[in-house]
Amino acid sequence: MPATSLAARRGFLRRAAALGAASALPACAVPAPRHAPRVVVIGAGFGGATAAKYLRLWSGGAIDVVLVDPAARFVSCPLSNLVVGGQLPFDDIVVPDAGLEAHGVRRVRAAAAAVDADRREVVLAGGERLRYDRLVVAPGIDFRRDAVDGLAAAPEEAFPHAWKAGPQTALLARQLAAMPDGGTFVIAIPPAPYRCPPGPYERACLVADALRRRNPRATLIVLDSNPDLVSKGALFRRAWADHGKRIDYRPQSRVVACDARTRTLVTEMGERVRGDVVNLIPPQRAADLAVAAGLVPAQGTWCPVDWLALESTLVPGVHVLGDATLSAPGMPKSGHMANQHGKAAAAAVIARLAGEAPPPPVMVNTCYSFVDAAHAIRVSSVHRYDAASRTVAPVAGAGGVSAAETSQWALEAGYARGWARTIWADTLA
Amino acid sequence: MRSMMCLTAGLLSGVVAIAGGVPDDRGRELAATCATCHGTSGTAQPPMPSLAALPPDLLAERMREFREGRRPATVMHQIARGFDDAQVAAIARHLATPPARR
Ligand SMILES: Cc1cc2nc3c(=O)[nH]c(=O)nc-3n(C[C@H](O)[C@H](O)[C@H](O)COP(=O)(O)OP(=O)(O)OC[C@H]3O[C@@H](n4cnc5c(N)ncnc54)[C@H](O)[C@@H]3O)c2cc1C
Ligand code: HEC
Repeated sequence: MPATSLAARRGFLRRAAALGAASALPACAVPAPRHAPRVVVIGAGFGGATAAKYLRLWSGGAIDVVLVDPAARFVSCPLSNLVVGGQLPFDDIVVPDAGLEAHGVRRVRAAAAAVDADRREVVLAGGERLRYDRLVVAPGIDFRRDAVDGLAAAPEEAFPHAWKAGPQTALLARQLAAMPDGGTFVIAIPPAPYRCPPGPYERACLVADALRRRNPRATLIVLDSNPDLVSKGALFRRAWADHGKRIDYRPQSRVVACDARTRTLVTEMGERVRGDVVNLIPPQRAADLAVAAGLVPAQGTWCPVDWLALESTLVPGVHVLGDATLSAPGMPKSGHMANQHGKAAAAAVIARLAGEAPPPPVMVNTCYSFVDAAHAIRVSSVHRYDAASRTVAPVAGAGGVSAAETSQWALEAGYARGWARTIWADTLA
Repeated sequence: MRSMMCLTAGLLSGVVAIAGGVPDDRGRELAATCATCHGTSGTAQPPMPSLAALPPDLLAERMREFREGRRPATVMHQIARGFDDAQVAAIARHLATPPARR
């Protein structure tokens, strides 16, 4: 790129960012840049959609933002466990996202197949190419089905995961509702790190709550790959106490094989567990696109980034965010965190395009979990970039979990629903 | 030539505007950490409280009360401890700035 056009674009960006509105630009500035800098964002989930929206907002519309995702609609994982348990209708987690276009985000409803970093182009599944000045990659997770013998070949209905919201959520809800009287529901939890650390335990609460009302003789078996509950252990155990013997929790029970015909799981200890409904949540890694783009190291499963700008340490000019990243210490893979990544990445991209240093990121996380439709528990943390260790780390003394009194849990449930509607709007509207 | 002049003018005005326009206190980025719960411009979905109409001094006072445990809270006592007075002041200033000038 010729030096003059780079300088022009820097000036354009800075000025637009400073004034916050393209309409406030002096008239003569308009013809100066040959084209606005273009940022392509892959993935319109919590991370990518937030990045796209805030890139438009914070550049005052000076950046051309193209958001690539094949999904026809946004279905929220947060609150989706209530749908599984029948405590919330499916339609309530389908969130309108037309607000992004109102911010000037251009949408391409297609899957990205590869990234040509040398030419700075995204290759779409149909072969079409999209040029970018900087790229943001937020494709979420995919499953390591090969880690469980027999899973890759099993039909979808045998072992629904419901760990990406959509048809799988509805499928698991239907299977729960149709479970035979006195039947067995199994939830198998993958080894950490996985998407949404408290999510499986929230699901156990809500399935148990549904069974108590609709199928009181049924059993719920929870096979956890981990040595103990990964998140909010004391609070979840307190909630489970209400369910008496209904929840049979078995730690250190990683599933290594499965048989679709008999709906049986085999753990690493050789235990065989058969269920009428088997919710097998497979081990996870950064999504296929991240692997195809060379953002995951040969022996790894996640995308390492330099947390100052959320830039890939493997491919220059590419920012990675959300669940696909190799999480910093104490950082959960959550929608709340992905939203925070989106804003930090937007600030970093704008700084890079203006030739400035990115602002050191500050991030807040909160994961609410429902224990029934009217009670929720929570874990919160504040994270800050630490220049010495060059990572984002939890701020000591900040954060924590809900109070132990269940009267507080009723208040938290109200906030949890308000939180969901607010993050949806902050991300998509 | 005309475009060259515009370029120069653009760069100059860019520098001046940065100095006088967006304060370098990171209020924008810091306020965005609250927006996930309190809304993009401080307007939240109930029962999450909105911050948009809160005067800057009152916001700062509330944060001190949360931090010191003097105000009932489900979550803010834990979050407020992650931000110092200077950061809270930057957030309050940002939220009090009309959107067009942020
Ligand atoms: C049951 C459950 C409950 C949860 N509850 C909560 C909660 O209460 N609070 C919370 O904070 N988090 C919660 N989470 C976690 C949260 O959903 C994730 O952490 C969050 O979605 C991560 O955001 P992301 O942007 O990284 O990925 P996603 O939101 O998954 O977005 C990724 C997007 O990328 C797209 N994509 C993938 N590949 C391509 C490609 N090749 N080309 C183009 N686009 C592509 C996908 O279509 C998708 O839209 C929950 C998760 C689950 C499963
Ligand atoms: C996890 C969601 C969440 C986040 C993130 C969050 N808040 Fe709050 N905030 C709440 C809730 C809930 C309340 C109500 C009090 C309570 O229960 O803690 C509240 C109350 C407040 C109040 C009092 C409002 C009033 O009118 O009394 C202020 C001020 C406030 N928050 C400021 C902030 C600031 C500043 C940030 C960012 C640094 C922030 N909050 C981040 C959830 C959040």
